[in-house]
Amino acid sequence: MILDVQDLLVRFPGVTAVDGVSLSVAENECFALVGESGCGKTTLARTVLGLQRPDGGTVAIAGTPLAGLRGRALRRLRAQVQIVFQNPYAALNPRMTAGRLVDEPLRLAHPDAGRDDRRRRAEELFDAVGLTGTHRSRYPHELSGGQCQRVAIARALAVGPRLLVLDEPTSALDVSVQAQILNLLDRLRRTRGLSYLLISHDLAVVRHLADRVGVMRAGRLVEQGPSAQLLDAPQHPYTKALLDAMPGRGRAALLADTIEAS
Amino acid sequence: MTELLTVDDLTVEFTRGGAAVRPVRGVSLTVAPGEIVGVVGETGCGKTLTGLSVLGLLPPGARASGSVRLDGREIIGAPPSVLRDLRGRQVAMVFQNPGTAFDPVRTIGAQFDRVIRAHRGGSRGRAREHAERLLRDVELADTGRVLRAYPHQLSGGMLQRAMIALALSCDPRLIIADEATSALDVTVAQQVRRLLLRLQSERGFGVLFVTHNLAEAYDLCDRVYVLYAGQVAETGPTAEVFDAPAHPYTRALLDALPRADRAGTTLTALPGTVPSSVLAVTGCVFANRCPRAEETCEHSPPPPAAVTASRTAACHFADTGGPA
Ligand SMILES: Nc1ncnc2c1ncn2[C@@H]1O[C@H](COP(=O)(O)OP(=O)(O)OP(=O)(O)O)[C@@H](O)[C@H]1O
Ligand SMILES: Nc1ncnc2c1ncn2[C@@H]1O[C@H](COP(=O)(O)OP(=O)(O)OP(=O)(O)O)[C@@H](O)[C@H]1O
Ligand code: SF4
Ligand SMILES: [Mg+2]
Ligand SMILES: [Mg+2]
Repeated sequence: MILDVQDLLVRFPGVTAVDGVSLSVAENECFALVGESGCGKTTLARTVLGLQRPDGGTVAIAGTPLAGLRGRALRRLRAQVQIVFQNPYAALNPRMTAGRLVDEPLRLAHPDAGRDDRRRRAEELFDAVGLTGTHRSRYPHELSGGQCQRVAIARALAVGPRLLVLDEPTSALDVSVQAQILNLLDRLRRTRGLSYLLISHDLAVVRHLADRVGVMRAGRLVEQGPSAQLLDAPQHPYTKALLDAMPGRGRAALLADTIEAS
Repeated sequence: MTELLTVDDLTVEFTRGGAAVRPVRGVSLTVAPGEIVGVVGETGCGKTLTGLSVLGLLPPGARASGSVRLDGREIIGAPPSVLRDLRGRQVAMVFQNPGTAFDPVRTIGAQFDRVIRAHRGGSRGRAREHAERLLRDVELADTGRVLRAYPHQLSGGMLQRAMIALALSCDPRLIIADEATSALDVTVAQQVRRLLLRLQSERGFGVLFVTHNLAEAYDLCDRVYVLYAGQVAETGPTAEVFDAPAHPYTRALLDALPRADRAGTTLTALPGTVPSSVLAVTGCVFANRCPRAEETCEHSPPPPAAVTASRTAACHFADTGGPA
């Protein structure tokens, strides 16, 4: 298991954001977390990244528990997990070119590497995320949303992680750009053996990318299972409610639900 | 058919850095009474500006030309008093972010009171009764609490319902909804769609439904206009357009959607981006990304042409459903 979360508990004043969640992500697997706003998805992700201390339970990365680690050992373990956020513009320093944005984590990950070595690695990353040399000298505002998200993914890959946390990676993007990013994520997983913890409210995206899905509600994991099975034959009423809320089944379905609801 | 709304050859122009930009370029559309009409397309294609033109609410610096007629009355160039009158009585709007539609320092009740009495006159008591009726109509049962609340004390879904109620307070004949569900949680968004559909069928107003979400347009709209780079690429009855798109752009959008039967496959992604200066394009504005583009596309812009009696597409090689 690249990620193993057991009985995780995270409390904030007045709210238990993560309430006894256990889940694991296998090598090269994509596990998706779905659920409505405020159910605790991002808090869980932050805890996995070591950015949030749990009030109970454990997080283990590649078999090593996060708790108790300090200094270099902690940094090394943390480098195994990187995150890609929803809004690529907000996640990138507007005063740095794409080239520098990718060079920055490379320096951290390879402090002993020379300039040429880093340059080669950066080129390889740009290539991997489908950007060309002309993009390197551009600032975020000179790039499209999809290109920015590619830069963010290149940055995440620069430190050589084994698990990527993808927090709504395409929900700020247009449909046509979303397709490009989904294809990219799919390809990177296959070619680099990456694992993903995907957070999304779009069940179509989840169905497309994820092997397994966990449904969260009010801090708890109410159901988890293989994505096709869970989305085709949901067991928990909340999962059914989420599926019923997905648009795209036509007006008849919307009307049928209206009658049911009234 | 007498149309409720007729937009004819609408163009919206700005001056940016000394040069003209034209985010809306010759859009024509209609909404009949009782019809829900979708305006869809990707970011920046001109959906919001088109909607704002109908309200006479374009941002400063915008120059609109063409014609926008609401119940036969011209909106473009109309004096502010006429526009205010239209907005009070004929057309109302529901926006993406209900938080910004309400004044944060006044209670919901005070804001209903002001709007209702401005439009219908009458006492405070009558206005309150009317507000309560409207709130119950949008399924906000605890009307007392809602009216006493300040905007930040209500959830996003409750605020969006309240905004719909406020829009209904003048008994409009046309509602412009711009990304009305986009900021809401999935289940709440679905409730708002249902609500809109129910209210529309009960009250018979027309809706211009602006959204980037193709799936929700599919569920809600009788007809749909697909915009690309400020122009109508394709229009027709929603089911026909989505089931058998005639324009390569519509097809590309639909092909890009992840779906259950595409799980684990490579999606057909649309390469490239909208040209940075569409005014410099001499031919079809979609040509640089179009999988079907041919020589002619580079030189001559395709006019909207009939695909069937109820459908048009602006493409030299529109798919008319016949043998390829
Ligand atoms: N730093 C914090 N301090 C206090 N409360 C917090 C903090 N971070 C999150 N919360 C609360 O914890 C709960 C879970 O929030 P979280 O951001 O994890 O939800 P989410 O599932 O990611 O939602 P969304 O889909 O809106 O991003 C919410 O009630 C939130 O208000
Ligand atoms: N005040 C303005 N001045 C100059 N250009 C503007 C102004 N308002 C909008 N635009 C431009 O007009 C184009 C169309 O904008 P519009 O808001 O109508 O797009 P949209 O289709 O609603 O997009 P979205 O899905 O992102 O809401 C955009 O490229 C935008 O940059
Ligand atoms: S006119 Fe040509 S370039 Fe334009 S959409 Fe049709 S086939 Fe494509
Ligand atoms: Mg979140
Ligand atoms: Mg808009």
